[in-house]
Amino acid sequence: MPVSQKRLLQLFAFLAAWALIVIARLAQVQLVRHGDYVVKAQRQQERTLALQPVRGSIFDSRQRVLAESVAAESIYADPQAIGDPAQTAKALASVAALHMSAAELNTKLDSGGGFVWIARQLPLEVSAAVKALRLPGIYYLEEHRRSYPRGMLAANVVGYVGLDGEGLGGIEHSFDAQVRGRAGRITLLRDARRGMYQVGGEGPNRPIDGKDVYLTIDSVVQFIAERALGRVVDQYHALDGVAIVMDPRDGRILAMASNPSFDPNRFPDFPPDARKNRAVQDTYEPGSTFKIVTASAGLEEGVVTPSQIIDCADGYIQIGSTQIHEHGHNRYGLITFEDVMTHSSNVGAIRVGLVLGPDRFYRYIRRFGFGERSGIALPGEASGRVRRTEQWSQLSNASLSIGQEVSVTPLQVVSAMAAVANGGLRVQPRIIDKVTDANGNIVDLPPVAAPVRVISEKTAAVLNEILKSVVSRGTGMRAALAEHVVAGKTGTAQKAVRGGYSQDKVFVSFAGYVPADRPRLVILVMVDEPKGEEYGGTVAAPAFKEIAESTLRYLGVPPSIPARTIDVSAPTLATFSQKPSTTAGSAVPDLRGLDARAALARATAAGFRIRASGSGVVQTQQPMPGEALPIDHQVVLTLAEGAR
Amino acid sequence: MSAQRTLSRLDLNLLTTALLIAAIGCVLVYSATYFGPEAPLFRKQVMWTLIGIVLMVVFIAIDYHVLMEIAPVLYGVGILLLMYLLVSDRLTRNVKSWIHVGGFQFQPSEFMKIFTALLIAKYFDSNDRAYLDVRSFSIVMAMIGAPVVLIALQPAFGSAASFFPLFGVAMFFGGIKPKLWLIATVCFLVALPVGWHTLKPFQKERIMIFLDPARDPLGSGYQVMQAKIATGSGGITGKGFLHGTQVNLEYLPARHTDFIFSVLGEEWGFVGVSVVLTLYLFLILESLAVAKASRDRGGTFLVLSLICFFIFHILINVSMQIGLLPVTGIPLPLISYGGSATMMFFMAIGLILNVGFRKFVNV
Repeated sequence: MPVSQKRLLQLFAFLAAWALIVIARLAQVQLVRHGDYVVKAQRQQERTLALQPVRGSIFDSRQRVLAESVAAESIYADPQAIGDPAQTAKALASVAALHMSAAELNTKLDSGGGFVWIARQLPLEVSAAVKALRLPGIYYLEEHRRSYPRGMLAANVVGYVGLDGEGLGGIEHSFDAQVRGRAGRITLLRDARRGMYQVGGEGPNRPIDGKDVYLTIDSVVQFIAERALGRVVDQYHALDGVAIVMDPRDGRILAMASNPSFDPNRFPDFPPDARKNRAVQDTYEPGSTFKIVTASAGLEEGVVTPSQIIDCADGYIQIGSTQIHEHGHNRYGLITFEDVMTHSSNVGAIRVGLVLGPDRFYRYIRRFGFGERSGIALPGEASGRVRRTEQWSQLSNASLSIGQEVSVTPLQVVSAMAAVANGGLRVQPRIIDKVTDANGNIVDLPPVAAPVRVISEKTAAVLNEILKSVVSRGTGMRAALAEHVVAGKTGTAQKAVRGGYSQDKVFVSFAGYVPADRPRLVILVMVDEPKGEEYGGTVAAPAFKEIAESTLRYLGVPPSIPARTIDVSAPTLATFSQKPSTTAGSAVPDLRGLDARAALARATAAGFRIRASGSGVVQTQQPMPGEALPIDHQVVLTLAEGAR
Repeated sequence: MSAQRTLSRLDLNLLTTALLIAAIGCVLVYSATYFGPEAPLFRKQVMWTLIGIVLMVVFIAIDYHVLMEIAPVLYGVGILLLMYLLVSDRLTRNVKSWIHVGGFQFQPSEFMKIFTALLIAKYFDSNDRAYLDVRSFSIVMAMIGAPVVLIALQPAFGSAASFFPLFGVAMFFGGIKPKLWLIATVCFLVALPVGWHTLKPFQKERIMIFLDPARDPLGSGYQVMQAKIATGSGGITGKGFLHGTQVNLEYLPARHTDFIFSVLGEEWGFVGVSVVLTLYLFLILESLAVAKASRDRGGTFLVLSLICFFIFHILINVSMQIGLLPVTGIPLPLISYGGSATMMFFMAIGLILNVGFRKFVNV
């Protein structure tokens, strides 16, 4: 035995002890703390990035781009991979288009951590300039920037998008889920030298691009409306204003203008108030435009006829302890109901409203859509406020008859006016034409709610005549067009202030449709607090005229008043889809339910002569509606009192 | 003696274990390098292994007594080479450790370990007193100390430290009295602060970081942290051959050389680590058996010295990866990439087999 057994054993014991320590330590690292180290490994090796899908575009009804995503690049830095922050900051600051100072950049780069944004969503030429610097630790991420090529046009409808691609207003918000698309995920492996390798981002992780939304808005009509509205708001130094253009036949909104407006490309520069869509988000007391509801209910319920004489002699009406005066303290004397409307007599409207009584009146108010959201696909729509009859005061019935004690949205007024224009059918206003996916397939055609009949065709026809006379000889004369007959109603509401109504702050509006015989457009112009003693007829009506004239010309609607008979306003009624009166052998219109005057107007417009007997409304006619007769043939009517 | 009888006396268990470990080493070198510009190193390591096997055969074939006889010559040549390195001014990887011959480079310090072990064995073969006296103790210390000093001047701290087993074997198995232990300990304690001042800053830093790992997570401590992350994230069964992310993404420093054990830990997990450590244990136990059975004191000391090299390298290297010891440039025997080290360990295996092979028979 060359060496002692004991020493060999001691060596072995030492070896065994050390080996045990090593094994224990390995077990601790590999088994006990395995999870920690896996996390540590992932933290330094993996970067999971969300792959943003390309946000869908928003088009107008003629495929003009209102909002689109354009390629952009964001720049970020990994401060730990940057050798010299000061030098890097200086180099970056040399790119003027970044608009950042070296000091500012240095703070970012010195902030520690492994990630900091340098600049988001830069145009490609700017990021290319930065790339040319070849800075270590500076990386680029392909992104998309939201661009609104038409700037402020329809901004309050289209809305805007935040930096992180979240729709913050308008269609961008309400259709965010569709337009946004679905983000993908990508896992990047990062090596020790900070090189990146892509290992994910395909298959189920692929981003799905957003869908495209087509609006019913027509950019040209929108432009016309915005221009007219802007002009009138400026001219009268008004606080704000709304203009809406709608096709009454299918409820398509062709234009929806809010003033003031904003540029969604740089929305943070504008106050939140300018980003509102006043057409649906604001409510106001409508004033006299609301009288179309009073009139509709009165006519439909047979409590009044157009020719009925109404006592407006005192110039005020006493309701309990309150006297409600005519505007401008006029005294109209004994006038027909038609004249009540043309002059916008408060006393006359209240008398009709009082005869209707709360229950019937309330039913019509609701039927016209007041007090509920239209359901249009725009965010933040207000429902307005219509109190139930149990909550009415002694004064309420009278107040409501002239559009007070009720709050409505501009869109509700348009919608109600469209129901009259449409022969008594209320259609749901809509702003979305269709939604298509990336392949152009239509994925969503918003359901069109069935039209609701709010008044009969006859009542609508009678009211149509009245609303035409408002424009031809009443408060809305400045809305009249040379080539088309206009029907409409003015509104001049004193603004409610603490304890009553303001004497000098008014809310003026004009709601109407054109051509009155065959309506193509319903237009509302509403101006908040025009300065000076102004009325709906003086402020809003001219704007209506401007919008109507330009839009009808743009849409190529042929003049409905022959040039030689400009002064003779006897157009055909819109609700009757008859052929133009110049065509021989046109169909006999339905005159039943009309009073003599309305029946005469319509028959004349259709090219027939009339022989009437009796008084009241038409009970029978000969020949019957729809039959073809040669032009100038006579239609024999029998009239009697009361609804048919 | 027939070839058959010769082979039957060879410790095949030991030989097979060594070859198995070397094969695993080649696989791990492949794992550590296949994806990058260092991929050719795998084929070079296979070549080193084959050269090592040839050297092993040579060191089996030549009787270790003959080798012990010529040990002073080999030792002298080694010392001259180390001195040549210091006067030459060719730095490779910041140290003067390599001698360049043609396209190849080798580290004399690795071969010096074998030569010194042979010289010590020769010395103890003729010195069979139970305890070393002051004079023989000084002679042994000088024999080991000369190459250590020369290597430490290169400066290759790890390589110099790897001579420590020779001190241990000489003192522990040579036997020294308590008085000398005391003197040695005092010398060591005195040398410590002196040694500290002679350390290069990065070496001091390594030790400081070992004592306080949070000191510099991205500097020298970074290596240990990455090694621990690799080993730890391997878990029980590992991430699989060529699937080590720490390795592939090049987080592991020196992954084919000093830190190759972490590659094993990451790709093959606790299971793989246990298998390799068991193989090492088997290798060591077989060698200890050889040392015990040696017919002369020279053979025993030779085997003990060589096996202590193995133990020292394995334990230091593994301990370093898992944060038990400071980072030093000490390879894992037969597994780490490296021509000189691979050849040295195969020569050592050859010598152990040599001693075992000739335990009872006069040649």
